Amino acid sequence: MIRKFLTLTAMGALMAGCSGDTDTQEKTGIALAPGETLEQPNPDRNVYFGDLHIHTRNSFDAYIFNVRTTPEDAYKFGMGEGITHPSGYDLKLEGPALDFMAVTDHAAYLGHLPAMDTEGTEISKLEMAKDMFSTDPDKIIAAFQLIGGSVRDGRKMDGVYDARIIGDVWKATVDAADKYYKPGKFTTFAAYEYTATRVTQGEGGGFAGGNLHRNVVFRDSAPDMPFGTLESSNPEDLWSWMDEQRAAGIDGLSIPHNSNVSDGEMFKLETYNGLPLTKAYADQRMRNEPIVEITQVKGTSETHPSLSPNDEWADFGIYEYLLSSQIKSKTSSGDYVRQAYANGLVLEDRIGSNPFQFGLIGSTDTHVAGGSFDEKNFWSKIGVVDGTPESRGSVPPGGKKSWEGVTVDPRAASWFSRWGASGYAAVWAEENTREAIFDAMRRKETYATTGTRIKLRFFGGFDFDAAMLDDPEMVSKAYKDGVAMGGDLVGEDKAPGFIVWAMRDAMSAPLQRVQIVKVWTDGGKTNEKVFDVACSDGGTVDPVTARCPDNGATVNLTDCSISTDKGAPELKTFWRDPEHKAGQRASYYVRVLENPVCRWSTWDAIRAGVPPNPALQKTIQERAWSSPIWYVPTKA
Amino acid sequence: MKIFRDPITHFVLIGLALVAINHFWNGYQGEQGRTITVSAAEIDRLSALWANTAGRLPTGEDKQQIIDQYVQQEVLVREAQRLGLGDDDTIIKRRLAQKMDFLVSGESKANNPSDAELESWFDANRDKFAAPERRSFIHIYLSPEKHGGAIERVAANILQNVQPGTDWKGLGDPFIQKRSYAAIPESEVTRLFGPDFASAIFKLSPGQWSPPIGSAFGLHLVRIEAIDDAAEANFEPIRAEVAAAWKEDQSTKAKQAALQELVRGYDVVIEGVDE
Repeated sequence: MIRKFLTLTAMGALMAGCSGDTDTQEKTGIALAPGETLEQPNPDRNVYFGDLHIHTRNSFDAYIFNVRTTPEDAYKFGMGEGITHPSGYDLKLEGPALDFMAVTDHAAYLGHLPAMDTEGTEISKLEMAKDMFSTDPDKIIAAFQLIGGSVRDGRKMDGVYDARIIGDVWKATVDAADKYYKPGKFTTFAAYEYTATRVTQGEGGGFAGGNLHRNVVFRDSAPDMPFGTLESSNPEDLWSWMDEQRAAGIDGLSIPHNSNVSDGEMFKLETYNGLPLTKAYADQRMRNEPIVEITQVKGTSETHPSLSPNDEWADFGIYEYLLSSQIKSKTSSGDYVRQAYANGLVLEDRIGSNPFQFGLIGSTDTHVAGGSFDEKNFWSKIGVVDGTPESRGSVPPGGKKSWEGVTVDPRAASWFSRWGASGYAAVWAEENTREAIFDAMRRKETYATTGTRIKLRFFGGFDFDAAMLDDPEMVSKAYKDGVAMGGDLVGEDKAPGFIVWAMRDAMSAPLQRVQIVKVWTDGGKTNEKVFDVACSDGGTVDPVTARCPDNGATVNLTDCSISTDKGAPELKTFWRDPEHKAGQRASYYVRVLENPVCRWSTWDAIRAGVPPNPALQKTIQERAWSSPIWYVPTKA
Repeated sequence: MKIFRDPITHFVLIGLALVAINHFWNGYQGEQGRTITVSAAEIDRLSALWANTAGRLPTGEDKQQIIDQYVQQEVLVREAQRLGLGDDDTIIKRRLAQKMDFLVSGESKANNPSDAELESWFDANRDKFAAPERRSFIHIYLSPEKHGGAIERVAANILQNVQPGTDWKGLGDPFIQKRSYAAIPESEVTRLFGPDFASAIFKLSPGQWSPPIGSAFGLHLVRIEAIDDAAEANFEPIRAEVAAAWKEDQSTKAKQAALQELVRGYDVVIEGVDE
């Protein structure tokens, strides 16, 4: 009931173009429920699911999207409580609580907009603050452009930028993480987003720049102040700062995201300032960026159909528009993970270190304090701007019942309707604590999913064989005699063997197939190949095409029901690379595909009683990607 | 269209949202009188929004709630408008702050309940704090991918041979999740194994291996190791939690009362609803 009231208040405030502060600080202790026990560490490790990319009211853009929920609300949402969307409805996790989380508000102007909107503060007296929360759209846009432009350019605005506000709000963010951390049960991290943008295309100060955003996550202790893009827009400066922090006992990871809209900048083959890459650069990058967020609401960055023409599943989650523009990102190089893996192998040969030897996670990038993981219950991510089906292009505007002659809002057409209900960060760790989960991320024993809770094991070893699959001690033997996802297999001329084991999410679709994506170098040339390695429904892999037969699974587009007799609950296999060549560096990662289900836009349309938008894919295949295992030949 | 051509920030989207809001605001300002009309189109729009979250169409009762909420919101806006607050956003801001202040003061008055007050409130709301039944269990998994049509026979065979003291972990197939689960409620079992499995194991008696039970993954022989009954909560250990809930309850009531008072000043006409 209190929620209902707060909704009213928020709506009232919205009408007036201002807001009351609904931030509460009640101290609710977290106690163990009756019968609840803390689990013992598991040497074979457990899988934990989390979201490491969450914005709240303290992010300058979220506040303008009318988001008023706090870091504490974000943690409550993660623990299974309901919170309020700025459009007035309640958000709640479909599944069980998350295992771990980090709130990652933009460090640039952290907390500044809420402060501008609070009467009595110094910053609220600025002309800009009055404009920002006026009722004149021109003034609002102009004021907000000043902030946005300042973030884009990485330049502090004198008289607006206030380090005290950032310090105070950062401290509150760290305190919220500490308050909700419950070792063994629910892990939270102090974190923030480093929001660097590289102005690339669009001369003359345009915004159409490359997204170099990163989330910076701290293991336990946190620094007094975040290092944001207003300190420097060069990520190498961020890494140097992180190195200093680490030397002082504050360990952190920087996790890049949305390389898909980096305009070729995220994995480019030179330094920020255009110099050749060196071993020192690669070592520093890997020390600070061992994992990358491959999927989130704003698209998936695995690969692109133009880069992987022989991969029939390369068209998933493609989103190409540079932030807030109608300009497409440069897809030919530097934007996609698979290509970076290949380039990394070449670089390793050339400079003696691989700057792109990273593992994978997913997360959401929600700006409403709660992640949207489910196709059948999707609320996208930027508050009042895309909070309804009509605003995100899945339902025709104005209550129309058909798409004939309908012009979809250009923002919905090229941006929001292309976004996805994704994703999760999955880690294999001994227990659910900051130390165990952080350390798993550092060793890259992680995988990404598109919002499903597929369980995925992946091990590599030279002496593995198919007999291990039925061994009850398989996992501990695999750890002992090989490496897990994220690891290096160092050896001579022997084809590496792999054990892949995937189990479906009980509440999502069954599994269709498991694939291994191999990326390798050949005399400085890069190559890739997708091998199906396990098929559902008794299918076997065609040795020529390396594909499973179609399992015939279908989706009923009138009600989104799926085939009940197709697909596998689990797929488990041993695979030895049949094309191994001595001395060729290679990396191998797993991709697991579920049977198809309705895309969120189809669910939206069915609920509204209208046909799905013909411009959008009607179904998708949820999936998981493991961190790779690298084959490292020992040189003679 | 200038803003689309302008190379502006990602964030300017909001500007557009606020334009829309401003538009609605002006619309409200144009209305007069003390009649609130809830049009059929508006009900449809709100219902669609509701359905988007709930995943089903609203029933008559749900619709009534949707309408009530809409009316309350409308009343608040009209009140502000009646006082001429729409002319200057600073005044609206102050007025809203005062309103909130009033409501919050209702909350703060109730800040410190006596022990007896709190305990008697707890007694009346005991069910809110109760812990659901939790079960601890172990299971032997059989994979349909491995056994195909023979899976029932294999399961029956294992069941016949599993004796107390047998090393049950060596039986059946490896399972990627855990083989034993400690004290988890049915909702969590549902999320992990699917609803059929969850409801089945919450009917088992403890201490013996069950016949094969199907899940989203295959067949399982299950043995319940312990049952923590749904427990009524005791006041003392969770006093702080009770106090927080009490406070929330009190402020909710205060706020609801204030709203009801305002709503009473209006005639409400609802179109397009038969009841």
